[in-house]
Amino acid sequence: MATLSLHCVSKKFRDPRGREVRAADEISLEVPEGEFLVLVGPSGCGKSTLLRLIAGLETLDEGSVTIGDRVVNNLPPADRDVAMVFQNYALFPHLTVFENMAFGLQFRKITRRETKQRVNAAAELLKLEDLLERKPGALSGGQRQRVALGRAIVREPKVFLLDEPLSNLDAQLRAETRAELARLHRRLGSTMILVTHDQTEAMTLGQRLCVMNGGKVIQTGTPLEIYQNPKNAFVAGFLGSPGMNLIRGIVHAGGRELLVAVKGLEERLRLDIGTELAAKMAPYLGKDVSIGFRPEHVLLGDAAGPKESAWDAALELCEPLGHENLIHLNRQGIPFVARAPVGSTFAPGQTLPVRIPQEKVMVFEGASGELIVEQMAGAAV
Amino acid sequence: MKKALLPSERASWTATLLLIVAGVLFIYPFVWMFCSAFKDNKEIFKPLQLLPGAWNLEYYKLLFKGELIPFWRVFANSVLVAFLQALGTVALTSLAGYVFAQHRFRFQGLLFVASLVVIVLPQQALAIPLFSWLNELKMIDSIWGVVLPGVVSGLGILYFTQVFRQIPRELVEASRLAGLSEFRVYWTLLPLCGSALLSFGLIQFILSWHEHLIPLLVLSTQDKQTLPLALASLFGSSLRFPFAVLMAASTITILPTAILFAVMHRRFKSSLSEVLPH
Repeated sequence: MATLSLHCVSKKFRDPRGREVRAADEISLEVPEGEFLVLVGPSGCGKSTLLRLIAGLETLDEGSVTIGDRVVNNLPPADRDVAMVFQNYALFPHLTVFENMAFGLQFRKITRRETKQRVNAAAELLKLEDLLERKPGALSGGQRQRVALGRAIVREPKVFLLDEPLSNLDAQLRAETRAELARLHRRLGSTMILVTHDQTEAMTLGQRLCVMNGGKVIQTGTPLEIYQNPKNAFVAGFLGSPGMNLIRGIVHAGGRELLVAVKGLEERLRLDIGTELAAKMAPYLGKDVSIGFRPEHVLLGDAAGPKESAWDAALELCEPLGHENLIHLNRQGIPFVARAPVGSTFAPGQTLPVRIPQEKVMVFEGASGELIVEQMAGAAV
Repeated sequence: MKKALLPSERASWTATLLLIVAGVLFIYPFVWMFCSAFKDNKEIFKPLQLLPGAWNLEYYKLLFKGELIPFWRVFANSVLVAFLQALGTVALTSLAGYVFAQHRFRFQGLLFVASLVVIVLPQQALAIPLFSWLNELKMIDSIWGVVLPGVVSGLGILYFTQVFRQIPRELVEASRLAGLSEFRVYWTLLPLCGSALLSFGLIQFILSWHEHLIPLLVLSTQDKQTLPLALASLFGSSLRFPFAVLMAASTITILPTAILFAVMHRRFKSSLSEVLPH
């Protein structure tokens, strides 16, 4: 167990056309001892590169990586005392489960007896005792994943690096393994960094999230903090399944009552933002903004309240998920999604009254996507 | 009523017929060679007679006696040269293939192209510099003078670069994280390329077994010669003894490679799909 710190870490690549791509752009991050940090972001955002930079599988262009009290920039991967679990498990098909798990120990001057002890202990923890003599080809995806985890555990590393370890599993197995991974972290208490593009995994596993995009860290914080207070429109749209609804428009009139003109929408979106926020919004008059609201905050049908404070929207699609329904709505060409409890009797084609409570609406700047208005008080949209 | 053949059936019959014709054309010279080892000179030169008048083993006995050429000695030389060359080529080119496939280094592209040039350069173009070099290294008339030049194979480098490119990068990285030296990483991955190693080793064994030019340049003493050289010298002096001896020697010469191929042809493939889990 150790603290991991990254200071201004940068890494550039050249794409096939010879253009420079910054996979990691001056990233600074601190992962305290024993923390489970999740690096999350869309494909190609640089999260796997960051993990590989920590492991030493890529060389840094700039910055420094410190594990414990050692700067490890120039150390080879084996000397950094990290263990990595790969997306495709990276098990040797010609070795048995035991040999695969012991693989990391054979070259570290660890006695056979201790190797056996460690492998057996990890096998017990991961319920692999009966599979030790099998080859990976004879295992299921979940079992292979556990062997890959076992290989990392027996190393007793300072930091565990997990590179999308669940993405090759089917939905049910993924949910089970996710829970297993959370339990494992609680038992081992190790510093773990997991890379994923799946935000359910990110939200459920991470004690802290680090949202990345374009090689940069956009926001770090606990899952709930980030979900409730996204720093910009990208984070708001990325986290959540489905993400936050974002409607682009132009600030038409300022003051206490903000009017936003949305292309295609006849009437203006009216937001009562109060005098304090009105001052903040003044420079954005005539500029592009995004109005954001989460699907769970959209009130539908009777819940929308009096007619004068609600919109009418056409229901395009209803996706029943079992525990809830996802309702895809459209208001004059502006699509958005809402959640509705099971048992609601909405059907495609019908027109529904919709209300979005103002205190749940966020306003982001159009060009940069930065959050302008975090929370509002007052009446309906 | 006669049932008409489906187009696919017709194609299958045509293919079978063509293969039979091609098979006969390819096999006939070998059958003729095998049968001629039992014939006297008169019978051999009768154009339409395939089978010998009598199955006479005396020409084999004459060959094995070693009076014309030291046959068994030459046979053993060929086995040794072909085996060492197959082993050496597989070891060297698989190592080079691993480096080209799993490493990035300066001038990599240039070096790779240079190694491929070896494939297109005709052996004859290299004969004189090679002779001069081997002479400097005091390898003329030595088995190593035949084995070592053959160990360098551009085709082998290309082949094993492709083979090692198919190995998931994560296996290499997991090995590096576990603290293996680069050679140990290569060694650990080698069992995954078992079929490819065997296939290429077999090809190299056959090529080396039939190699004529380099042994001709390097080997002069009769005791150190390989089979193709000995057969050529037998052919050159075949007016002095029955032609059937040459046919007997040729029959024995093709036997090892034919047997090797027959035994291993099922494993004669480079795919990794058998080894890697899906």
